[in-house]
Amino acid sequence: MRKKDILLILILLGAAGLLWAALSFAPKTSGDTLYAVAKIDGKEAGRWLLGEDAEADIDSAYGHNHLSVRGGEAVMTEADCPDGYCMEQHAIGLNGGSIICLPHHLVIEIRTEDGRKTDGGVDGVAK
Amino acid sequence: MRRNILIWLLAAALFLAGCGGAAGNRTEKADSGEESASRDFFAMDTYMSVLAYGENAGKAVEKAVQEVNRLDSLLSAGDPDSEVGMINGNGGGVLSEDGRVLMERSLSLAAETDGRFDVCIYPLVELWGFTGQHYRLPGSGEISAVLPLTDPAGMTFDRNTGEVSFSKEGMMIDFGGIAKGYTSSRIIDIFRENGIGSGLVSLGGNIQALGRKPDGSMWKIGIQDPEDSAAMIGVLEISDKAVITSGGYERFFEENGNVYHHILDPETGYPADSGLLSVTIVCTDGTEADGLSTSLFIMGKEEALRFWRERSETFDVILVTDQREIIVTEGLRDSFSSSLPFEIVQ
Repeated sequence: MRKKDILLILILLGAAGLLWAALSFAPKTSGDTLYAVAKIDGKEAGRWLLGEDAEADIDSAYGHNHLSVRGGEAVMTEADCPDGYCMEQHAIGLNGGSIICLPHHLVIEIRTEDGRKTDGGVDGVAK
Repeated sequence: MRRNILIWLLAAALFLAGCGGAAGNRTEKADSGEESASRDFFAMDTYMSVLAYGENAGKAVEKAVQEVNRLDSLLSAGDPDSEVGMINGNGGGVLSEDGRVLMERSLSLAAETDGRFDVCIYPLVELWGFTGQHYRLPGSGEISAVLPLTDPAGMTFDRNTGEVSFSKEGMMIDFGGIAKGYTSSRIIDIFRENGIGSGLVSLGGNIQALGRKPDGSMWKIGIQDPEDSAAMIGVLEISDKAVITSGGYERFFEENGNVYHHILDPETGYPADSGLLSVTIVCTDGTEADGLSTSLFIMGKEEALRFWRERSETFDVILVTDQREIIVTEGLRDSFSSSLPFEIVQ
């Protein structure tokens, strides 16, 4: 192995190390891509980019819901649950939060691409 | 040739390093490098989240979920096959160990709060339709007929055998006023038994924290604005505490322009009209926090503060009144912050 080979190995290893470090330690709080994520019984039933308007039916054995994503906010606009409380809940957006349809075991949450919840900077909300 | 292979190998290593960095550090590791596990699920008619950090986090969270489901099937008054459902259906019966603990706690809370905490209120809750979604405004005659059934003096409970019996037909028990607080305390016990030093439990907004966050900072808990579900009245920084809020906004219906909420005053039989919109209790004991939040809501501001002054060593409280006053007790001076004006009382 010639000196140039060794140099090349070192340069490439160094570059690999730098790339790993950059990806591992880069701040993850800024510029996160946010999604409205629907979960039924804890299992993901769909996700929609918060930045793109969308209309989505969420159907399961429990019943029907319709989620509208408009202007960076998600809101439940239709549901055939007995109380309809999910449709009275506020739209959720950049500050996180959740819309819960208890009868349909459905939760809509704002999450980052890697699944972290964004809840307005708090770890939980007492309510 | 050999050099080409070497370059390709190293290029592959570089690519893999990039992939590893992008895919790693997801949900399994906290920023501190500690293992974490969490579960979101439905139980006890609400949405629950449990989160644990530590070596056995996965196992601890799994056990916590099992414990919630076990207690749910034991304590649900709405389920005729649960222990509580069977006692109510049969006009008496025997409580298991958990039930006995909850009954003892209920009776001591009743004595402490001058009857505001009422383990026998279920017939009244049913009359108003708050047990399901069939809300209705009962007539005053119906309320006066049901009120005598809600007096715990008509119940006998044997601490040793766990036997419960009722002196009047139609009497029923319900641990709903403390069941979630008791459950969150049980989860914290399970976390501790499994060597977990840091965790957070939210049972439908009933919060209990174990230790601090893995990075050593306190848990930040928002307190919901009772008049706007998307807003908070402030943030509490806590460790090893339960934070439990009760408010009329949680469950209510409107009829003839009046709002009727689910926190019923056992003295009048009507929703408590005490001038409070919400009561938040901060306490190391989840069961106590849960029971006191409804009781102090019924008491109203002046009596709630008097009650707190006699026991300021054991808990703290945040009151929101219908005049939009936010009243915070002395013990939370350093841990509560808000952009809204608030008053600290001693």
